[in-house]
Amino acid sequence: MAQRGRSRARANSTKSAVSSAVAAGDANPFGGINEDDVRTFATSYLGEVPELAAPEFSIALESVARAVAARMDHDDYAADEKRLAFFIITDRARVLGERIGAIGEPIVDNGSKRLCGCVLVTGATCRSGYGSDLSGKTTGELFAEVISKGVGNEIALVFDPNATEDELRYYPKGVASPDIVQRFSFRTMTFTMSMLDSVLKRLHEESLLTPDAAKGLDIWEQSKKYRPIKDAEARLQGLTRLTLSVAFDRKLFSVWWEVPGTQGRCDLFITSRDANSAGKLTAHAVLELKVLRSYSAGGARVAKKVNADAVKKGVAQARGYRIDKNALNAMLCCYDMREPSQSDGDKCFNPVRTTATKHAVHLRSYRLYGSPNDLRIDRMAS
Amino acid sequence: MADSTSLGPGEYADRWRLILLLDACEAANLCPIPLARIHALAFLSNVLAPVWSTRSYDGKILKRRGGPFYPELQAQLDRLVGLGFVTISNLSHTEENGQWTLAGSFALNEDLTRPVLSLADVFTDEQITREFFRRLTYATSRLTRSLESVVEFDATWSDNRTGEGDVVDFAEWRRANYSAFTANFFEKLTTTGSQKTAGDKLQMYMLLLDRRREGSAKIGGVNGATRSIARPS
Repeated sequence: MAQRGRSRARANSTKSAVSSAVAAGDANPFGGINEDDVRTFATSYLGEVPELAAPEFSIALESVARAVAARMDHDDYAADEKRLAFFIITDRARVLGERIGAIGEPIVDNGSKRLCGCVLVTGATCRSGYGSDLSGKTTGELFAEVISKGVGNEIALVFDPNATEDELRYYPKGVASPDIVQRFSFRTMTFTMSMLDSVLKRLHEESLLTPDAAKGLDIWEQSKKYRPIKDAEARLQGLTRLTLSVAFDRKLFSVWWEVPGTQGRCDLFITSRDANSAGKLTAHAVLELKVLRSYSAGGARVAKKVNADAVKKGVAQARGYRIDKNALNAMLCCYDMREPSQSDGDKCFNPVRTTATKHAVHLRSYRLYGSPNDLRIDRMAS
Repeated sequence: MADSTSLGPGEYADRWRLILLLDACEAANLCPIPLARIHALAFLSNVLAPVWSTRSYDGKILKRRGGPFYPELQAQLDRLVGLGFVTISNLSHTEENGQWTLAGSFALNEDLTRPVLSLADVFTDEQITREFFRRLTYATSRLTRSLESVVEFDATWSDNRTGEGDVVDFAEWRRANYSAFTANFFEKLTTTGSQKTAGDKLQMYMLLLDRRREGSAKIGGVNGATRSIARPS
């Protein structure tokens, strides 16, 4: 009977995955929860909840950034020796931590734990972990020490408290391969458009430019054939939101996504809270993201007009959201995933440039190559 | 597994589920995980499975005062401990209705389960389940209260139309999965496209339960919690 019941449950739940989980006519489809409370809660947290469908490294980046920021805000941080902090990201923190003789740390993300001069073996959410003090003084000594512990080939994030600009360095192949690194700006305290540009440019160059750089992000269905995945725009939106959340200090700035308004949903929206004026919000920028395609995920050719219309619509949306949100700036970011023969750089903006200027919409184009060879050819030609 | 040939499909599925659940707990650094938390997690994985467009293992559960508990799953957990696939620490025994159960905190035996988990990666269903369980434990790791106390505030579990001692049937003979309904309801308030926001819905749902639990701790009792949801400063 138990087996039959279980099988039936599976069959039903498969159906319920595509239909409703609750029978029509149920007087209270929220069960023990009040519907108004669900709505209130959702409105309060809309756009601010970390996206757990993101790649694990994205979750780890945001979590580690949060932990480091909490420590930097702690009174004891000033006394911390300014040495590198290593975060080994693994799905077996307990096993790896015990193997290197690290000590269990139940809380690592609230600022109470010293991070500099330590290697912390932790999971993607970086709530707890296994820590070990390092004795090395220089960057080289510290890298060598981490490698000697046997975790040099594990995915790592490194925070350097001595860097000119705060940044987290992501080593996808571990610190034993120090040349393979992506840098993420971290904890910027003031918003300027040049800073926004700098963050987006770094994201593009280090994480999106080629399929190798974008490995793990799954934005291509078939990169060599220039076929982006169906929801490439959503993936890029998630990654951009994450990068901006890490880049701008979390205590001051909020990066919202899919924010509803009278003119639709704004892709990304950056606000800050004025520390000197209680509760006053400054709306810095709205961002509208578009993907330009030559082919659909399934391989069907996308007409040029579709891309031109997307750019035109993007300008109108950015303008509308800026007015809607009373934002100081608006930006249209086009991620050009078209094949080389169609990609035309900033020329895609020519038909809308006057309108964009008139309505103070900044235009940015980021080229995503389907292969490193296409990048090389392009660089040689320019 | 050593005695898998003598297993029925239910027992076999329970063992897979346990290993995948504990794998997810290891990934979120929740191990060693106490017994009550495993059962709470198993319950949430059942009611929230449709959010991830995957299958629930069990569509019903007995509503107990002590929180979710699956006797069949527990039997297989004990068996996995006996076989060495799962390790136990802080060992003790508990007795309920004349049946004795191993209690303690559980973790995977890495060496023995690695080949099993490699096998799981070969099958699409198991891959999806593994991914779902991991996202669920990631959401769990962000709770401010213990999972076994938060689960009491789950939409399906806390529905007062089912009393203690009754069976909560949410997906077997009835369609009464209020948890999945509530989590999916966020979609109407956020974005469209269920697949890309599945993680978001899971996270929000768990946060909602956490806030309900937090509200209850302040003013006492499940019923009072619903008016206490406030965004933390």
